[in-house]
Amino acid sequence: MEDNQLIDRLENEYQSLPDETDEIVQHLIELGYLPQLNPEVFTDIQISVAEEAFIADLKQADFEDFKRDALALLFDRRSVLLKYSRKATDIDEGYVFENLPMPGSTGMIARIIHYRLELFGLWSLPIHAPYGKITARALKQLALYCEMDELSAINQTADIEGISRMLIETRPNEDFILTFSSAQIDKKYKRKELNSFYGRLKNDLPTDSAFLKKFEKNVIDVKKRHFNSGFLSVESQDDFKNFVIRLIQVHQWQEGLYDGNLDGKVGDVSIQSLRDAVELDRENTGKKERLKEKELLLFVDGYCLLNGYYFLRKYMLESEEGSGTKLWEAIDEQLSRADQEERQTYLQNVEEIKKRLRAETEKAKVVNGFFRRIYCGIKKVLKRALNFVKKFIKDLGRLIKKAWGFIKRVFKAFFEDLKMGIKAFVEGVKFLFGRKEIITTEGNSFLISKFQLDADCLNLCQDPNSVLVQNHSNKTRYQFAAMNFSLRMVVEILNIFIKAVSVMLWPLLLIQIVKVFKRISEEFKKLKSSVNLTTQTIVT
Amino acid sequence: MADELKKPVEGGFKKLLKNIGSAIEDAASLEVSTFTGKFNYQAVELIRNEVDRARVDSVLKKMTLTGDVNLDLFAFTSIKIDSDVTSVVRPDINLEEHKDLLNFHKEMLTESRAARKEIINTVKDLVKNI
Repeated sequence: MEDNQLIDRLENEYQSLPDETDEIVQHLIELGYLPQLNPEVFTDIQISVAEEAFIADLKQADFEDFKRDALALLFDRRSVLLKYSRKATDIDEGYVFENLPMPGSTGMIARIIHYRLELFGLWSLPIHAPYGKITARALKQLALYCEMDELSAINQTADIEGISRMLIETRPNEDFILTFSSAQIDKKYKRKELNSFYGRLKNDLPTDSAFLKKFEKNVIDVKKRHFNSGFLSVESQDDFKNFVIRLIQVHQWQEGLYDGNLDGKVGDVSIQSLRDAVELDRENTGKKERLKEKELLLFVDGYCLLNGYYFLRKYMLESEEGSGTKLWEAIDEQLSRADQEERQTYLQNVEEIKKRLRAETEKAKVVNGFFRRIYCGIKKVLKRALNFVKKFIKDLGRLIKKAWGFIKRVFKAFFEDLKMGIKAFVEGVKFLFGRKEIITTEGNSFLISKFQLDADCLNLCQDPNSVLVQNHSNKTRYQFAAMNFSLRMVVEILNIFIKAVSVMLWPLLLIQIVKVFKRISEEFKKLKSSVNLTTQTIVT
Repeated sequence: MADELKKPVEGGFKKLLKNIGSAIEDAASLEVSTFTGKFNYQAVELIRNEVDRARVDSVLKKMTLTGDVNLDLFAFTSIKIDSDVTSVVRPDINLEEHKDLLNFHKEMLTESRAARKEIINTVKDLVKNI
């Protein structure tokens, strides 16, 4: 392998990828294992105690997937913590429960329920508070909004896209025309803007809509701009509509368009994020279908009206099947058709994203005394990104400027997969030509196994016992599972290269690595934890 | 990747393929050997010497230098690709006393066979596309 420039270059690429963020601490705060303070202030001991409590609760919760990964905890604790803390706070494809917890419970399920209720503005006590009457009351409220029983309602929050779809399908459209008081009251009112918003409203609501009639009477038909603020005030206090405002805020947060506080209050940051969402949508819409901001947002008399129906339907439209693999395949297809200049521009833009991601601290932040967090689930954002594939090749630079929050989420996921893919590929290649040793110790006993492709397996042992043998066997099984995964990567990537050697260029190769990694990962889901174990592989 | 970098990368891949192609011969047989003994090499030393980066060779060398090595071949198994299996075991094996050691040897044999099979499949998959 001396002079193998490909491996060297891939290893350099690996080194240049943005660092993993300190995501676990953020999730531990979100789940109430650490107080809502600036993550920087916690000592290692505090974090370690919180991690232990989190793991203990995970074990107790008896989640099937965690049972399968429990062994991996011995070898790669960090990856397991990251995976399960992310899963516990996921609202794309989060946990669903068979039963609600017993009163008084402070375990994992109670915490996840409180976390989700808090996201939707229905919980204001500490997340680690015992499951009790107040939880039951909040769940009842949620169930009322969703028009289903409490358990189904909390399970519905494991998939926020699903909850939006269900609401849109069951509630009248006018329930999603939202009103809130806005700081932007000094914005000069223009009749033209009012007409635009009204035009869109007529399009979205049935002609006999009660809201439409009230809107016409109290806003459209008034003379000299003397709107009936009583109507707007009543509208702004509607509980269900406030819940929908919160839902939209959570959607915006999920998609990387909003990083303000999740508090249901709509201020400048929320409004800007809604504008960004419209702008992002315009980027990828045909000219005829393009909507203007004034069709969706209206500022009158100290209030802002928002066509939430449009936004929720947009989130629903993203529900067509899609995944990271599909996105990377679509980008790959576009890249293989792109000319040299486009590829070069794409590559430069990706380098720019890497630099910006490295420069930014992705840790949860405390701003003005409030704890701000970054949503870490990726399914939704990747689905949405599928719509922007052409822009990724041709116009990524403009997207970086216009929708950085969204782009960074997409590429963070890309870099994570690339990192794992390169690691599996390089270690797989090295394994083919190297030697690997597995060592298990306990007290003065030890077992060493040395595996080689050409010189087989050499075992050395001192005072073995059955526990040691079992641990060593488990370790070996995991290592080989990880190695098999790596070898599959090697075969797939080399085969792609053999077929496409004349057109293979660097951005294409990187995309191929991610694509292959994702595909094999999906095939080898049961080995997911083993993949993480490649960090433990000793290659000589 | 710029064109000037393309050639070395292509070269790297070709070299890799050549190496992989020749690996299939090496994979034609599998040998598993298990040694036991009192090495006077404390487990704690393994840890101190950064186990993750320890080399068995250097561990053996160090043990040899201490002069206290009493290395016994406990079992040796050889498997040819045509399924001929040869096993050599210590004559004084006591099934009860050496149960853990026997299990260990058997486990490593099973895992090595599975791993070797996977390597052969990998090479076969590659070779058929060249």
